[in-house]
Amino acid sequence: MSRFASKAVIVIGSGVSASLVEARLRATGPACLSVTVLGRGQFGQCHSLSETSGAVIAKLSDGRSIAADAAVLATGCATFRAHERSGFGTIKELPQDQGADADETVLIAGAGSRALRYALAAMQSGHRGPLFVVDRIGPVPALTCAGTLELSPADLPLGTGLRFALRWFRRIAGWAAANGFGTGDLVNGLRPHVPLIWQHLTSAERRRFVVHLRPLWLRASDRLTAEEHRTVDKFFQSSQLRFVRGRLLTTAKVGGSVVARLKHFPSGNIETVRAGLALSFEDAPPGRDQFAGTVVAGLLERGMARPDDFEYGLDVTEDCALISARGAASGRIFAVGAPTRGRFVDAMEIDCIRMQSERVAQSIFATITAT
Amino acid sequence: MLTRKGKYGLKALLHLGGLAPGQSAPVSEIAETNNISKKFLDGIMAELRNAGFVNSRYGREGGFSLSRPGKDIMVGHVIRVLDGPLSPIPCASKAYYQTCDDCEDEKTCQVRLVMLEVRNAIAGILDNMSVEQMRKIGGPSGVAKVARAASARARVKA
Repeated sequence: MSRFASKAVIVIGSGVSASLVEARLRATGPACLSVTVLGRGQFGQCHSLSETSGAVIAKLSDGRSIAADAAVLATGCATFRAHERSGFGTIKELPQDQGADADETVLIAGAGSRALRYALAAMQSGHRGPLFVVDRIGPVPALTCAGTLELSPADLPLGTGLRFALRWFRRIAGWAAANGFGTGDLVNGLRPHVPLIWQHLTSAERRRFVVHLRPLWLRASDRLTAEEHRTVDKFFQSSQLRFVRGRLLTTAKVGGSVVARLKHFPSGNIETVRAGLALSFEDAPPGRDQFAGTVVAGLLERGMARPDDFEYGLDVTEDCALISARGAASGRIFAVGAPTRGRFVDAMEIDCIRMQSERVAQSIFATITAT
Repeated sequence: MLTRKGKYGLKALLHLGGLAPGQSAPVSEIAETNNISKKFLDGIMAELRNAGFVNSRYGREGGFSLSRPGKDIMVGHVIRVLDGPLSPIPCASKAYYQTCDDCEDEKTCQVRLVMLEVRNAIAGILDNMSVEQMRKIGGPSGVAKVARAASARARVKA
């Protein structure tokens, strides 16, 4: 086992959230602090994490162990990995890099900006086959909107149920329209207040939001640039990109291809599509399954972490410290980004990850200077 | 200004906050204990239920109870539901905005600008004051009043 002589922090993850928290620790930490990112470079994937009275120990997939004073889970969006396990391809690679033929059909679940950008990248890199986009809401996110309808917390429906909050939203949307503001302006104005509204929702209302309203909210706050919008329109007109309003019911691997059953909205018709590759950009539903096979699953099994009330993410404190099954906040293990999405509704947004990184850095510095 | 509706709604929540866990209180008891018209209170309780602050239950043991602990219900949130926005004048609110007939330019109107600050200060106090904290402000007399009403109801049922 190698042990750092100075104070050390390990960051587990390889995505944007890992980079942000690493940058924050390096920029504001003491000179004696070393930050090691597990999951990229010379270090392999972190297999498991344990905590002793004075340190955290990470076991790597190559058999090595690393001890540190604190650890930050920045494992990214487990939901996409959950899709990958159930027969979908990875959204991190283009179809041709995953063995799909250039003329084969590619099925894409979700029509948010991320999914459409992927579709554009696939077509621009030479994919000639049809791209079948399935989404329950609508074909294309709105254009980037610069306007903002400024809202004060005094105007917001805090602490109420979602039904009441929606009534409020309709009322203010009516006012906004009458005063020359668009829906985009209202969404932009509401966006900074969403964490506050979320914070005051009960657990049951949060679950209701995630199941029924989150896709609508994500779509409303999702934006494409004017150029992306034009390109997507062009591809829709050329019929290479086909949009189906509906839901993916099942997918199954048959030989080298994927057979998917789609339910069309609102007709309810069922269609079967055979594709060379299927990809999902949709949120996986709440549940412990989303963490299967990750370092987080081990923490949950050993009671070092617990899911939040409706199993949407991990239960963490305001400072992002992991809360154990017994309800004790860890002083050494923290989480940022997607794993904290039950506590922070915008946990996958860069601004929120920056704020979390700041809080985590402060907590870690307090811990390591006290020991 | 806090209307009677807002005031009675808060009194009703304070009453419910004083009940033992699992207990509920009928509107008649809340109205009688707090000297409120029952008919008026019926409407207020319906609004509080629609907004998710209280639960209601039918039957002999029925009545209203808080939907979550009093420490999680903020006074400002309740007033927004019953009285509308916390702004002292309508032109300082977005959701319930009304322009003033006599105002030439609301962007430079000093009264409105000051009232915007007042609105934020009101929200700052009321949004950080829970029903539980408010219940403790009046001392033990309010708590005793609810306990007396509950025990009287228990005696009647027995």
